[in-house]
Parts: sequence; C-alpha cells; structure tokens
Amino acid sequence: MASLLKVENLKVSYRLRNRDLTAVNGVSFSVERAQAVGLVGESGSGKTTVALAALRLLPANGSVSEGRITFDDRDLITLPDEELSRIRWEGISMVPQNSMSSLSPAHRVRTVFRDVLMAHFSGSEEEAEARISRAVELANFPKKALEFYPHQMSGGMRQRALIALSLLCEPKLVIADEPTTALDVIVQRQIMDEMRDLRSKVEASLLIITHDIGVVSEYCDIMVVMYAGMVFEYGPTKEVIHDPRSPYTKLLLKSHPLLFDTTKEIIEIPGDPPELESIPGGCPFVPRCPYSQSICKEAEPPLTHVSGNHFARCHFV
Amino acid sequence: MSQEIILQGVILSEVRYDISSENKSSTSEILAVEDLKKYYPVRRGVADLLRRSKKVQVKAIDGVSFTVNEGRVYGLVGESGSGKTTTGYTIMGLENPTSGTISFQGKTLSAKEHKHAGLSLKLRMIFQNPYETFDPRKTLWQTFSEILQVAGLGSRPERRQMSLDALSRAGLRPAASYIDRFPSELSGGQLQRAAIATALVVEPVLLIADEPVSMLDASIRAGVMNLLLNLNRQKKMAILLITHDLSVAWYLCDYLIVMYLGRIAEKGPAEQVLQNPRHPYTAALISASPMVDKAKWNFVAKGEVDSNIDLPKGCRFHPRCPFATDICREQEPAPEVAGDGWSYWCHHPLSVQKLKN
Amino acid sequence: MSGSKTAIFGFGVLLFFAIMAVSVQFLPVPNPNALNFQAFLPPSLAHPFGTDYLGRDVFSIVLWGSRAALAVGIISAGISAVIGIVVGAVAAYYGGWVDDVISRVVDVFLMIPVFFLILIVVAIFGGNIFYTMAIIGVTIWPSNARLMRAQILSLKEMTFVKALRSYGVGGFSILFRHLLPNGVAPVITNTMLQMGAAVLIEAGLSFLGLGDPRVVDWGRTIYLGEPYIAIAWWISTIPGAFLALLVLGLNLLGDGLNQVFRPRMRGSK
Ligand SMILES: Nc1ncnc2c1ncn2[C@@H]1O[C@H](COP(=O)(O)OP(=O)(O)OP(=O)(O)O)[C@@H](O)[C@H]1O
Ligand SMILES: Nc1ncnc2c1ncn2[C@@H]1O[C@H](COP(=O)(O)OP(=O)(O)OP(=O)(O)O)[C@@H](O)[C@H]1O
Ligand code: SF4
Ligand code: SF4
Ligand SMILES: [Mg+2]
Ligand SMILES: [Mg+2]
Repeated sequence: MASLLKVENLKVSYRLRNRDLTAVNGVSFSVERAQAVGLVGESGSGKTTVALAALRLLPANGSVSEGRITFDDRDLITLPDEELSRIRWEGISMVPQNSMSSLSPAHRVRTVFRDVLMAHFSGSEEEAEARISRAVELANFPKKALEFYPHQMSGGMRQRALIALSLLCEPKLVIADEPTTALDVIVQRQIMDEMRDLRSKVEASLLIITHDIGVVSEYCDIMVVMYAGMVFEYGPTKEVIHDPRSPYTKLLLKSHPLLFDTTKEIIEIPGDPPELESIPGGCPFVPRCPYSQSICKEAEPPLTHVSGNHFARCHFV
Repeated sequence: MSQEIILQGVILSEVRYDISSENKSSTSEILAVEDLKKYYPVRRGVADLLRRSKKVQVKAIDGVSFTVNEGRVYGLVGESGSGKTTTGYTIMGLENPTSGTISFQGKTLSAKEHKHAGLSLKLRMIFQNPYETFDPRKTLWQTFSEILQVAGLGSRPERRQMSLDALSRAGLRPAASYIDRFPSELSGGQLQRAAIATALVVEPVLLIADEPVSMLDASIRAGVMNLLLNLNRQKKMAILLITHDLSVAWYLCDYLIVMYLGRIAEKGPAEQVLQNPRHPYTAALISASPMVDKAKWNFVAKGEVDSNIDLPKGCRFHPRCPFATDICREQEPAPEVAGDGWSYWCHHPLSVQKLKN
Repeated sequence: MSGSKTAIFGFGVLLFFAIMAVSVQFLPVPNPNALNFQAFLPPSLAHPFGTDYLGRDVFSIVLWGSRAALAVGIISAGISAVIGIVVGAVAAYYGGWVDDVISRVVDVFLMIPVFFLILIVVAIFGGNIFYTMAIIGVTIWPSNARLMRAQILSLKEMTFVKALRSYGVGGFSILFRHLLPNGVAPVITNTMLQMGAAVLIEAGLSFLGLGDPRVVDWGRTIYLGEPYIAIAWWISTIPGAFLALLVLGLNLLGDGLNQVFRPRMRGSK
C-alpha cells in the first residue's frame, strides 16, 4: 500500500514586504499508516510551514512553489476546495502550535467543539454528544472542563482540549505541532503516552513536530531532522540517535540539556540559525559547522544514503 | 571562569560556572513572599446560583512563602496548574493577592506601589507564551520604543540603538532585520528571544522568567540558558525561573522551590534537592524527565493533578502518592527541615534507602 | 473570498456617490432650486430624469441630493462610532460599576424605538439638518458600544495586556493605543451599516415633512412628488432608486467587511 502522506521535493516561500523567503526548500518524507514520524529542527527551520502546506493552510503571503504532497494517493495541492475541506479534520487534523490563540477566548470549549462538529458532521444530537465524549476521553481531557473558557485552563488542559478537538472527526493522520512544548514533564509523558496509544486505539498515524529530541527518541519510529528548510537527516530514530551522520544532528544531540549531567556544561551550537533570506550557495550549515571544508561553500551537499532507510545531508557522510 | 575549548577544529564557546567556588556568603534579600494566597472566584451558571451553593473558588496559590536573595537563581518548578504563573503575576502586581504580603527591596508592595513606574525598571517578567507577549498590530520596534518611553529612557535614536542592542544580545542577529517585523512574522523561538529582550533592555534587579526556554529547540535553549546565566553572573540579576524542566533547573538554579496544587512541597538548594529529594512529588518529577536512570528514578505520580477547587484533604498529593498512608489522608504535613535552607512538607519523606531500591 | 468581493462592490457604490457629491458643482447641470422649466416634463435628453411639479430639474436634484445623503450618513455614523467606541471600550476595560452603569444605559437605548425618539426631537426643534445628524448620531451608538465592549472584554484577557502593564504602560494608553486598534474592526463594519440606516432615517424624516427646507434632499423630493406619482412617476421613483442604491451599497460594504474581518477559524478559509 502506498504511503499515507507523501511529501516530495516541497518548496514553500513567503512573500515579505520587499523580498521572498524560501522557508521550505526541497523537503521529502513520508508517513506510513500507523507510523509515528518526528519532525525536528531549530526554530524557523520550516517545520510548521511543512504542516501548514500539507493542510493548505499557509498564511496569505505563503505559497507552494514546487513539489507534491499526496495523502491517500490524492494530490493535496491541486485538490478542489470542497474535497480538501473534507480531508481536513476527517483525513488529516492538526493540533496547532499555539494552543492559547487557537481557542477563541470568548467561547466555552464546548462551543468550539460543537462548531467544529457542526461543520463536518451531520448526525443526531446524541451522536454528536457521543463523539465529543469519546474524543475528550481519548485525550484525557476532564469532561467538566468543557464548560471552561480558555483563560481558565492551564497549558496542559488547553493542549488536551486541542488534541481532543483534533480527534473529533476520527482522522487518519494527526499532525501535532509542538504538542508538549511548555508542558511539564509529567503531563508531557502522559500526553505522549496517550498519543502513542492513539495509534492502536484509533489507528491514526502521527506526525509530531517538535524541537525536543527527548520526545522524538522515546516516541517516534522515524526521525526527520530539518535545518534551514532542508532535510539534514532522515531515518529510523534509534539509528539516527546512535549514529548521527550529519554534523548538524551530531551537535543538536550534544546540546540537549540532561538532568544530572555532572559537568554542568551548557554546550551551544555556535552562531545563529541562518537567515533564510540570505543563505549563500552551498551548505546552509557552513557558518556553524565544525567540519566545514572549502567544498561546503561551493556546492550544496546532497542527501546521501547511509544505510537502509537512513539518509544524511553532508559532503562527508 | 569562562573558558573556550577547541573541539574538532572549531571554538565552541563554553560557559561553565562552578557554584561552589562562588562567594557563598549570603547576599541580601530582595524579595520576600509571605503566606501568599490567590483565589479566583469560579463563575457559575444560573442554576448554581439558584441552588445557593456556597462560594466556589479556585485556589491557584494557597499559602506560599519564600525569599529571593540578590543575584541568585531560583527555580519555581511543578506541574501544570500548580500555581507558578499565578505566583509570578501576583509578585508583578498583575493580579491582586487574596491575602499575604510581598515585599521587594524592603518595601511592602501594595496595588498602588505596583503602578509606580520605577518598579517596572527593577522588576520584570518574561511571559509564558511568546506568541501572546506582543501586541499583534505593533512591530517589535514600536513595542520596544514604548517600553523605553514609559521608562523615560533615551531619545528616539538612542531608543532605537538600545532596542537593537537588546535584540542582538538576546540572539536575534542581525537585529536590524528583525526589529521592524510584526510578531506574526517571527517564529516561536524568535519571539521568545524578543520577549527576553524586552527585559534585557532595562536590566532589572529581579527577572521573573516564566518558562523562558521551554518553547525553544535544544541548540537555542543552550544559548538562552547561557544568556540568563550571564545576566545573573555579570549583572547580578536575580532570576526567578519558572520551569517544569528539571534539566534546565539543574543547569541554572541555585535554589529550587517545588510547588504542587498551590503549595510548596519542598524547597532548598537545587543540587541537594534534585539528587536527594525528600518529597515523593519531587521524585516523581525527576522520574518523568527524559533520559534519567530509569532503574533509580521510578517514582510515578498516578493519574491527574487534582482540582484546586475541591482540594484533597490532608496532604494534597495523597491521591497520587505511592507512599500515602492514613495520616496523609487526614492531616496536612507540617514543614520539616532537611538541611540548611532545605525544608519539605511530607509525613513519610524519602530516605536514601528508598531512593536506592 | 466572496466577502472581499461584496465589500469591493459596496465600496464601488460608495465611491460612485462620493464622486457625484464632490464633482456636482463642476457639472453642467441646472441649479436644482431654479424653477426655470416647465413642470412635469417627462425624462428627455434635456432633462434626463424629467422635471418636478415646480419645474425643477430632477437630475440635478438627484446629483445635489447625494451631498446631503452622504453628509448625513458620514456625520451621523461618525458620531455614533466615536461615542460607541469610547463608551464600549471604557465599560469593558474598567469593568465594575462603570460597566454596570454603561451597560444599563445601552440596554435602555436599545429598547426604545429610535426612530420615534428622533421624530419627537426633530418635531420639537425643527428640521435643521445639523440637528438631525447630531440626533441620529447620539441615538444609534449603543450597538457600537456593545460590539466594542465585547471585543475589549476578550482582548483584555490576553497576555500582551499583562506584558504592557508590567512595562508600566498606563491603562489609558493600553486601552486606546493597543486594545482599540485590535478590536475596532466590527465597529467599522457596523458603522457602514449605520451610515445606510442614518441616510434612511433622514430620508424618512424628510418624507414626513420634517426635513430641512434649505437642503436639496432626496427624501423631501420623494415626499413632495408622491401626490403626483400617477401622472409623473419619475419625481419620486428616481430619487428613491438612488436612495436605495446608496443604502444597498453601504450594507454590502458592511457585510463584506464583516466577512473579511471575521477571524479565520481553524480548518476553514
Ligand atoms: N507569515 C509569514 N510571513 C513571513 N515569514 C514567515 C511567516 N511565517 C513564517 N515565516 C518564516 O518562515 C520560516 C519558517 O517558519 P516556521 O514557522 O515554519 O518555522 P518552525 O520550524 O515551525 O519554527 P518554530 O520551531 O519556531 O515554530 C521562519 O524563518 C519564519 O520567520
Ligand atoms: N483567571 C483565572 N480564573 C480562574 N482560574 C484561574 C485563573 N488563572 C489561573 N487559574 C487557575 O489557577 C491554577 C494555577 O494556574 P497557573 O497558571 O498559575 O499554573 P502554572 O503552574 O503556571 O501552570 P502551567 O505550567 O500550565 O503554566 C490553575 O488551576 C488555573 O486553572
Ligand atoms: S556539508 Fe560541510 S558545512 Fe555542511 S554539514 Fe557537511 S561538513 Fe558541515
Ligand atoms: S505526606 Fe503522605 S501523601 Fe503526602 S507526599 Fe508525603 S507520603 Fe505522600
Ligand atoms: Mg513552528
Ligand atoms: Mg504557567
């Protein structure tokens, strides 16, 4: 069977006042059925943009300039609006990155659930209620809190509310954008456990967007490392973590803070994330890379096959 | 104290601070929070009003006391809903306490005192959600200009230069390419750096940082952690770091205040508390952290945080605690001293033995 | 998508009338008050919309009347917008008894039939067009106040307001420089609708003979032409059609803006 979601050579650019910015630059990966894929990378590396492009929810100044995104063998980029709106929520649903502003501050959570159901579901009142109950239960969201306004809830509750919301229409793929960022460790562990369980309970695939290598290493089958809008490493999570081949992945793993690290050294990746507007030719990691050679400035390194399903981008894999 | 090491041909700037070699003599106290309580009324439907049920309140913080000394880093840790942010808001005067006192540099802060512009130069907060920290219709420059104007600092060109400096010190480089953007044109991490810059620009005496790095990816997180450490060590800025991430607290904090359901469960010197926690809740937090030794750290807090409307009787943690006994369900634990400046609230504290097996 | 099209169409209509009002004095049309022509002339090349019962050129009346109509719309709705925004914003931001008092006043205003109130006031003070505009303005603001209040109530819970307060920014500045710009969109929309309503109210007053006799005005022309509708349909009908077009345009603009401004819901575009 073909992949559930397949992204091929995706390029997305944003129009700024006087220039264009390529936020996603030739990204390819796929999500298989009942698989959990982790998309990791630094802030601004284009993770959210990939997800928004897949749902065709890019902001007005963003557009897909190249590439294909297929879901269940349907081309999402050319799909007519009506069909697309069915795929959203029922095929793919997204737990957005910004949990506070994704819930209308003026409405009770229940109202938001009803509105979403109303737009996508034409069942009886009882069925709708049952769906809400089920979604709320799956996400471990306390039922009482349906009557709350967003500002009355803490971060974890809001996140659960959004996860529950994303499950309302029983999607095949849930894209979770930083699902546990800003949540405490206990809730993070619980939510990630719950999301992992979703795969068996409702057979949903997961695309988890995160900067937390801890989350990816414990919960994802496949790991995609992005940098400056490109995939720098791709492969089975264990393999990537134990044998990272791209220098960026190596440094990323090193800079991850660890409880009880005896040295208490905070290791930064030197320099700043690249400015997407002014990436010179060659490898975008050059200014920060300890291994860079003269060739790195001249030629963009290819995504090189390492072994099996493991690829890494570097001239010296 | 800061050294550079050469790693495979590049210089990685590595900042390493040894707390034990610091001047340990106690610095002066700048903030004292005494028995602070903040209850929120719960808005109820008409039906409840008719039933005349008794006044229902969310006890967001319920009797919290601690002090902050000049130039030290304090970690306020605990689960979602434990009242960390509310504590920060109340100290900042953004919420009025239900009871209790807050004194800053010897002065008790009343609602009027909080409005005083001078205070906002010394006491600053970085808010939990960087997406919501900025007025969506104002560019960063407009926001920074207003901050400096309110503080009465600089002429227009000076303000611009100060803003650029702050952004650049917060790691948004080149600052000139970010300063005229709207918040919606920055990614989450970039916004968080801009948020830190709003505090940097005035260099406060005490910075309350609400989850300053939890939105950031690892490589940036390290940078911001170093940035906060530098502010602390070089500018003697005291920091009250609100975080759920014990690994961050491990690197940054001198002291730790562990909160659960509006109360302090344990507080004390960070290293000692983390290595040898007395409260089962502290141990549960450590156990849920990624990549810790699962054999040693296997304390699981069952279920969910209880509602802070109907608080559990006795020890608030008892419904989730693996060591709860009858006394825990009946009687609230009194504070016990575990060491110098280290206390906990538990009937059955963890011993070294419990931790080993 | 369709929202912006509706708005553009409405804006086009408004622009058409605005150009008419501004350029009418340069157009080669007869004085609308001159009684130079034969009465009851049907539409012809010389008089595209015919003449009225006193021999005035209806085409000229229609053109000149756009000024009064637009002035009434803009000034009345403008007064209403300013009062509504300030009152609603203050009520929401300061809350407590301020909000209670203001909300009561708004409720009272929303309950009384505005048209009759205006009718009584105009009947007492006479049909001066400036009074009329002022009276319309000070009676229709409550819906704006209510909209503004709702917006500010939700905006003031946002973290950036806490951030601004923590910088030491004063309440006045937070309210008027930060919250207002973020929440004013629905009021602007409503103001367009109110412009249409104000134009209709004024025409209604004129139609009842309470217009300002010094002003060239569609409502009064409709009123005065009405007895002759059987023998000279054009006197009432044509100004009426223009009145309808202007009100329609303003309503479309309001509706369109409403759709454009409406926050984009998750999952819909
Ligand atoms: N609406 C927009 N207009 C212009 N540029 C944008 C817009 N949205 C995002 N960008 C830019 O596109 C790049 C990628 O942004 P994106 O939000 O996809 O990053 P991300 O990987 O999700 O980062 P984070 O981890 O911080 O959320 C960034 O440089 C960002 O500044
Ligand atoms: N305005 C409010 N009205 C009612 N309840 C509130 C309000 N603000 C906070 N609360 C409640 O107070 C409790 C403490 O919230 P607070 O935001 O301080 O927790 P926190 O420790 O910062 O959690 P998190 O890690 O999720 O940010 C929560 O149960 C929350 O629901
Ligand atoms: S291609 Fe060169 S600069 Fe890029 S990651 Fe490899 S060694 Fe570093
Ligand atoms: S007092 Fe009892 S219930 Fe509470 S933490 Fe200690 S052992 Fe657990
Ligand atoms: Mg993102
Ligand atoms: Mg908080």
